[in-house]
Amino acid sequence: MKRILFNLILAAPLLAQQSPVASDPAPAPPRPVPAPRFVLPQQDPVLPLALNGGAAASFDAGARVGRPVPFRITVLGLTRLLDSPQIPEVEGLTFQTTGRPSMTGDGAIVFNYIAIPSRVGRFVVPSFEFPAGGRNITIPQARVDVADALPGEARYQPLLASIDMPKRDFYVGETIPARILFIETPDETPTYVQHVAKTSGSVVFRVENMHRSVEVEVEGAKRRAIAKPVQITPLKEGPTDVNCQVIVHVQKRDVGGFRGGINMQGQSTIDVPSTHFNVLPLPTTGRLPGFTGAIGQFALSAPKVSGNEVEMGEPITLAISLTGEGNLAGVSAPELPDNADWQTYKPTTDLAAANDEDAPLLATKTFTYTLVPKRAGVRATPAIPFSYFDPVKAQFIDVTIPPQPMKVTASTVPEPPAVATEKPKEEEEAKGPKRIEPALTGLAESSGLWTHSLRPALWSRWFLALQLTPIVFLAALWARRKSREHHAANPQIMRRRKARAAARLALGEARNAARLGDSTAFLTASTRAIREAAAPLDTAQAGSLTQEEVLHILRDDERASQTARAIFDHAEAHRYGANGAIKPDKLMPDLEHTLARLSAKA
Amino acid sequence: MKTLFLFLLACAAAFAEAPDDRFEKAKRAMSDSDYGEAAYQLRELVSESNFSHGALHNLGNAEWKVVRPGHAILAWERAALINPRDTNTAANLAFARHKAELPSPALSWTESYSTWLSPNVWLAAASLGFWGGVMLLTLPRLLGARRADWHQGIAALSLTAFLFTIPALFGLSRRGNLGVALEDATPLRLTPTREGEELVKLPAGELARVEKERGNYLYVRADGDRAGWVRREEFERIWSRR
Repeated sequence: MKRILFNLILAAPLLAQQSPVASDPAPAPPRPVPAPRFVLPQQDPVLPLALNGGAAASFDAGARVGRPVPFRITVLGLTRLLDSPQIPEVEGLTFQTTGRPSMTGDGAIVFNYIAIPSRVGRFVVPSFEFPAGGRNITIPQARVDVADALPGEARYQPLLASIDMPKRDFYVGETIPARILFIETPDETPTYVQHVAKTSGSVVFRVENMHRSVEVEVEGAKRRAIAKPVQITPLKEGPTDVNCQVIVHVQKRDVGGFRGGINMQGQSTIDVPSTHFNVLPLPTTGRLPGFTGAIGQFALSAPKVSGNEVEMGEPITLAISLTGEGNLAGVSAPELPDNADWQTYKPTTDLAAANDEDAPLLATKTFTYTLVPKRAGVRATPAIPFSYFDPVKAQFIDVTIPPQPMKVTASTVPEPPAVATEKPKEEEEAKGPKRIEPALTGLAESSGLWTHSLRPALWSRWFLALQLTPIVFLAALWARRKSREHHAANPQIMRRRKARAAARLALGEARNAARLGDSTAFLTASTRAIREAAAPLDTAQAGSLTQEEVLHILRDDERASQTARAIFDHAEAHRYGANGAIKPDKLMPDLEHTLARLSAKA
Repeated sequence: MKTLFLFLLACAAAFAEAPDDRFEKAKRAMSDSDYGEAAYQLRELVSESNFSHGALHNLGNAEWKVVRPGHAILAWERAALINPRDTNTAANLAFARHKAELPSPALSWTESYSTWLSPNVWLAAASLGFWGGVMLLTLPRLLGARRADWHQGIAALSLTAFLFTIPALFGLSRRGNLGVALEDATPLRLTPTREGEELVKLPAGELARVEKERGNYLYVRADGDRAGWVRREEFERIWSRR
């Protein structure tokens, strides 16, 4: 009903145009209908969806070689948006998803793709299954006829990507400022770099969080691009290739050939082609003292001292700043040589990035030393050897921190007693050897046992179920013991149970004998059955019960009493050779009645 | 014939994806200094729910080499969970915390005690101790036999062993809330919203405890009572809930 109303609403303007309106005597002159700027992609009607079990798949018309043609899958009856189905491979057709699926007003979910044909002809996407919402939805077959490209029409050009880095040789440990460029094409424009998924090559690949729009020149033409800054640090000497895989959001333009028409957003996984460069080892000759791994182009600021006149034992700080472009993040502070005049402590470091878009590596690293003069009369701070390697000049540069003038006076604090002065020395000795810095250890040689969860067993259902096993086992043992105690206290229960079993067995034999017409066997089995059944009602054993004792038990039931008497009498007669007229099959119902009577009494 | 071929193909594919193959591939990549590839292979293993001490230890080394200290510390913490006696993993954690100037995790005595053995060993010891003691005390009576002195002696020992595991079990349950900040400058927010005011930032690799959860946010408390809401993507529990 809703759908009919919906269709009527849609059809109303058309009906209004086609049918003359009676109340309007002077119809307005016909207006020229403007040509549409672009044509919306055709939507599949709802009726075929119902016929196809709730799913449809279709291409738009007008597919041409090398140009994208929209392909969409429409599914009814899903309550939420899902990941797009994986399209089966079709030779000559390349599929790409275009953004998230959309939900239509009438409850269908549409998954949008573009397909790029590589040749002329008919292509068939086979029917396939799509698991969704706990069921398998069958996506029906879809066909498209691809015509040749129009004269002068270019093939579809996907986004271009490359790693842009300076053109020279690099050194092991050097930090190279590079950028990944995503360059627009007439068909695709990058909008956002989501994630650098995988990198390869013997390098450390550090990706900056930001990206920015730039203009680059490609084959003489200027094009817009997105640049993602990265820092690459080679780890091994020799020829090196570096590449990566990046997930990028792109805007696909003019899908379906309608220029100026619909743009489609999509997510593409792009394999950025390898960039090749050569990595050299640091020269072994010309190395200067105080080299702590700094590679780049730096300048050392003038040292800053907290004061130029101090008392003996009073600490001062000496701060030096190294500014420039290079691997400053990994540079350690130069070590102070042992000095008889100064007590030194481990320096602190502070790194401040300049955040300059044109010089991404530009930063300043400040090393702050704390120094304590050990004696009065010291004239200067110690010189600190320091050097770095300039990769452009290919040589080590000496930037030794020069001594700073200092006047150290005698301490105004009275000297402590001699005993007290020796104490720190003893404490120093008691401290033992210098603390060893922790270091990264090697790899594990074997994987060890594999497990499929890091979740401890404590939170697993099977563990709790396992804890129930001993409880069940103990409960079963307790029940068994209680049962045994009960039977020991009431022996007649077991006697009755055994008697019933023996009587049932004998009755079975009697039935067999009756069926075969064997009177002797019938009488033997019948007397045994009666005795077994009557045994719990008497103190005697079943075998020693006499006819009179059995008849006494059955005295209140005439039929049972007579049956027992007859069976006992015939059995007695048979024992002494008399063959009286007995029909076992006629006696069987009476025998069963007698045994039932005895069982009821027991 | 076609079915057999498909079956063989599936078997071959399954064999190619075996965890040990990936582990060896990652080791070779590490030997060639291709840390990106090694980290990728080991991450794939973990994402397929294949965990082992060796794989997690090596994943930590690879992540450290590709400058992802938060992920490296998470991998080493998980490796230490599986094999707490491995000195190499403990040394790497100490190294990473020293380099990144991170505080050592402040564990209560029950939590420190629980790190002596792996969680499943503690659980097995507690189960065997408790049920062993109970069985030895009750079984002779239930089976109608006399309770001997040695029954009582071993039962007392088992129950004593169980008592020793109780603090460890308590420590384990508390350690289940520990997690690691994955990215550097992970913000702790005042409210569990994207626009929530940033109170403080955690460095990559710092440990914190999850106190409550709401939607896509976790309320965590780090050393020095720095607490706030953090997005799930930026923080990972050491003990996966999978």
